[in-house]
Amino acid sequence: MATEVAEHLEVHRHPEPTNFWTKYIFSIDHKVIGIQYIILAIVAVFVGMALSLLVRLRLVWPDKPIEILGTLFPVGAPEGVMTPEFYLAMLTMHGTMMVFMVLTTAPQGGFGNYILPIQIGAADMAFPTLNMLSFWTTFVSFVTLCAAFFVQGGAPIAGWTAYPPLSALDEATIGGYGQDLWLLSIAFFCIGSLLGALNFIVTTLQLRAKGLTMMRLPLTVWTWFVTAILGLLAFGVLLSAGVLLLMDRLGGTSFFIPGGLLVNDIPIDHTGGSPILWQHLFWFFGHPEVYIAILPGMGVTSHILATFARKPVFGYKAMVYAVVAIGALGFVVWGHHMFVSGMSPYSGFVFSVLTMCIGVPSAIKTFNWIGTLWGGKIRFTTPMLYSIGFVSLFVTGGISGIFLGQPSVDLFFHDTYFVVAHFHLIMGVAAIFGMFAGVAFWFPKFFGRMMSEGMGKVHFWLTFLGVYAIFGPMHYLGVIAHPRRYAETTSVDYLGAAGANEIHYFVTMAAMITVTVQCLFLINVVWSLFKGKRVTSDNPWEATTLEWVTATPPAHDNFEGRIPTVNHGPYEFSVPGAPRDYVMQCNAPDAAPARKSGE
Amino acid sequence: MHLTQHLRGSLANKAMGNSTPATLEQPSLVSFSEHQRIDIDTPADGEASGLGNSNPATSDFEALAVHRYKLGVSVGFGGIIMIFAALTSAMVVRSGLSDDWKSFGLPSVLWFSTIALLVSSFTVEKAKRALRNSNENGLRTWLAVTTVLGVAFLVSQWMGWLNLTERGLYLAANPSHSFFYVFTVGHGLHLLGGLLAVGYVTGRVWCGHHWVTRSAAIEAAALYWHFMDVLWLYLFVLLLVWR
Amino acid sequence: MALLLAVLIWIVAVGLAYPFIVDTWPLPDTITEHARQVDAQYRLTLWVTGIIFLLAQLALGYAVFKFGRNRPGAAAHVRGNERWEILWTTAATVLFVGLTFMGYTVWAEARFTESANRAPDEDRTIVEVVGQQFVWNMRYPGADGKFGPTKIELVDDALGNPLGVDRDHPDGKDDIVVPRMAVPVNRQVELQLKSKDVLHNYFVPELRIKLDTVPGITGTLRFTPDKIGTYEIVCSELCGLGHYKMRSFLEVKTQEDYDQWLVAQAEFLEQ
Repeated sequence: MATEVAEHLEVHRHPEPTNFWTKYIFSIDHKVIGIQYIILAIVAVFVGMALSLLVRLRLVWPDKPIEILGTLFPVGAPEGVMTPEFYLAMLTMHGTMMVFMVLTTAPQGGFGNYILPIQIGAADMAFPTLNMLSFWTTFVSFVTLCAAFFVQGGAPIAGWTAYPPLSALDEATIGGYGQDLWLLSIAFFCIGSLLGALNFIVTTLQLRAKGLTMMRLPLTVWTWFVTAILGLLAFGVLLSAGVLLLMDRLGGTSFFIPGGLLVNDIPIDHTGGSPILWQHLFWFFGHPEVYIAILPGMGVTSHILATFARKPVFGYKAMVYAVVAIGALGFVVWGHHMFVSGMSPYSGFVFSVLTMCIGVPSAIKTFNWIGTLWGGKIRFTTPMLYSIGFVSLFVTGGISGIFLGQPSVDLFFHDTYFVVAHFHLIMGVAAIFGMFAGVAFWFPKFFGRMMSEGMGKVHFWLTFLGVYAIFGPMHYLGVIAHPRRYAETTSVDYLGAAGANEIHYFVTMAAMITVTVQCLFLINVVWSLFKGKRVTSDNPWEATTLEWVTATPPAHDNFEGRIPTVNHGPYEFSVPGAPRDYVMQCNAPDAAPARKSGE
Repeated sequence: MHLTQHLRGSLANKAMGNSTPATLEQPSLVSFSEHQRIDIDTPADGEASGLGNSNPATSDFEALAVHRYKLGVSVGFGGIIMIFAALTSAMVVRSGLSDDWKSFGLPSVLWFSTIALLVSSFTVEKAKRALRNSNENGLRTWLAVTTVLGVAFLVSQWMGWLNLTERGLYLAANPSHSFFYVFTVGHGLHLLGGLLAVGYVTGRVWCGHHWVTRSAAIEAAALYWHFMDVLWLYLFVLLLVWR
Repeated sequence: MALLLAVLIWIVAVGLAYPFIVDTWPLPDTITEHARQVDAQYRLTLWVTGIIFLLAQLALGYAVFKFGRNRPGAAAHVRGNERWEILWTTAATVLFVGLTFMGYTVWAEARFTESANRAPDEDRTIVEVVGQQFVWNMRYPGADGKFGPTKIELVDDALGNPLGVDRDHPDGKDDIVVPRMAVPVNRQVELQLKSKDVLHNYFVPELRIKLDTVPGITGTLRFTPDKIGTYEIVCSELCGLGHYKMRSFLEVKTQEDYDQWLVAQAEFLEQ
């Protein structure tokens, strides 16, 4: 008996599950949970893309009957013509689905969950059961959000930012339970994310392998760690705000609803609330949320660029400090979302200076990425292509932030398509490219088979061009002062005169093609799962970090009872005098003769 | 003690044997640590009681687990602090911006709540001391007292809400009441979580269970309990000043 | 592969920047001095960011093209270069923060309404702008220069009193409420922005300013139009299902036309 207990103690953190339910569904294995998060994100991203197509169709053909839509959505699109409220509902759900269920889940909960414990040499996350709880809370949140489509009144129409009083008063919309379900879903999501963030932080702080100092962490781990801290501090605020708004809707309180309102000639029985208060609370969460979405993508990009350029990351320390600086500054710039809300011009100026300061670490990262490529021997694998694409998109999406961060210029661009172009490129598409890169890079470790390079490359070329074709022209819509969230352009004369319709038409076509191309990615994943080339080595990319020394796919406890010791920095490529052009982190201390370990 | 040492060695060998060196690229270059990290979440009840505190492997493991659990709880404080910081700033802004704010007398039963919670913080500390001194009887008693005081706190809060509703001060009556309910219910829910944790360890200790993460669970629950106490003191003062 | 990727990055970058350079889709007309200052700041930003953008994309493409796998020799084992890193960190800081400070005066003109040297003109035209789902209503104080009190109970769209102006009150008797805005040219206009229900946003592209109308709060905007014409006022904050069709017109008239228009409106009110 004592033997069994001891073995149990020493070798396994938790016994290997034996039945289907504990192995694949209610698993506490971080690898299974990571895959679950990724599957959730893939489902959500296809729903989100379908919603965006509806939005695009409505913009181009506002009153042309599309028969199939009439059949699919008899209420939202009677006789095939989408109503303006249906348009807004699709827009709201598209934003919510993408920001929360895709951009927050996959980079952190998905890849972070699977890779982080292995990269730091741990057998699992610090709290495996809590990890499972995080995922299933997030799943409940997803189901609750989807339920909003099917209640009377349909999905909410107040946008993903849910500004009250529009989101608080049924009299101002079609009403129904859509907005309540939305808020409930957000509350669940916050709880799931808080638990997840806690787990990531403790895991990174406590379960690192011997010799793995903080300054030897792969940049991926750094970004997941900083993202977790952002999540821990941001989601609590959104939870509070969401609960208050839910009480305004259901409990008759007046946190955000001012007095003396007259909505559609109905006097509203509330007093004294402040709609601006919601905006402060929301954006205090909302801005760090942008970095929650993009930081893991930055980490994956740095990681992959170094691996396939066969060079150490250029300025590793600067990269770490930049990530920390972006995270810290992310908490003091929320006001730049509110330049036009009537805030004090003095605080507007302070927010502006702080916002522009974020441009500095972002610029450092960009230049260091190019510096990493410079002088390398680049291997153009599919994950490398996605990562180079990420850098290009990050520059394009980031540079428009310089316009929007200046209040004087923002007074013109605020709430126009310029903003839509900006945040889609930087937090949407760039982050998604980070995820594409992550899937292609780690797929062989996940499943023991390579993804098809051919399909991957076709997908990259088409998607790279496609996203630029979609979001590039939106800048021009912003220049001609096209306000966002307009169901059609026909009611404002200057839009049509300045050429908005032609641009919209082009964008919609590009969107339809690009969305179709995404099926190729799905086909590639499924095909490679069954027919992909089997990996012949545990380290097919000749990379350096710890996930490449474990079995493929990794064992239940990752390192089969052993824990690697780390002797080297994370990106020891092309070390002069070393036998190969890479030195793995757990190689013997004398494996890199030319230099001491990379600190 | 020797048995465990011996087991360790043989297990390490076994693990090496089980693994597939062929899959490790150039295994000679890969260094693995001799020392195993010991982590476990699955409780090993009853039978494990043979592994007392005298066992170096177990105490090593316990120290790690205590650290991890306490770290987890402390990190969690960050999230909880942000929740209540957001609500506090909302209250400051909401009361400052409007002219509809009406003060009201807090239910006097809250003073009883406060005292109960303060005393429970003291008793949970006593329980922790008893645990460290391997005083099983003391541990049981003080944990039980803490649980009872925790229940008393929640009952007392309930009476406070009843008192308000009897006075006609419902959730939506005035923003000052709204915030009172939000703060007290929010704290109550967090405390309920702590109470479940304390109740759980109390129950298991009373049933005579020794499980490997026992001290970690008790230390973490105690830490969380103290935090709930401090949080309540903060909220109570806030509500007294700003009601 | 390397060449293809590099060329693609260059084409995309130049293609994206080209319409900005040749102004394919120009900014709307400007009708205030402030709008022209905003445009100057915008152009300056466009130059600075445009150069950084093109340089970064060209460098990325060049690195991809130049350092492919087939080139001779090993990859350089370079961990960084402090001199370069300090250089571009400093450059980015100076440029980005510098831009903010340069834009400071423009922002101050638009929003620092209380600052001492920007005291409002004595003879400014004051107009109250009230947003509601999904129309704009403008109120002029009439001959007495005073806005009358409003009451929710009096609101009646059918009777032509969408704002609930108390017509029995001496100040409210001559208040003019119209769905279009007219202002005299070359005289300062002060808007008092309000909302009856949800958030809206008063946006005239030619003014280059916008401000939310927040229920419960009065926002103030001042501008001095210097071009006669009719411009569209659109809503730029999501306000519900009719958001896209919530618009009105801003008519900038000569002083005489404006006075006549006011008289006509007042006569209409008499009837």
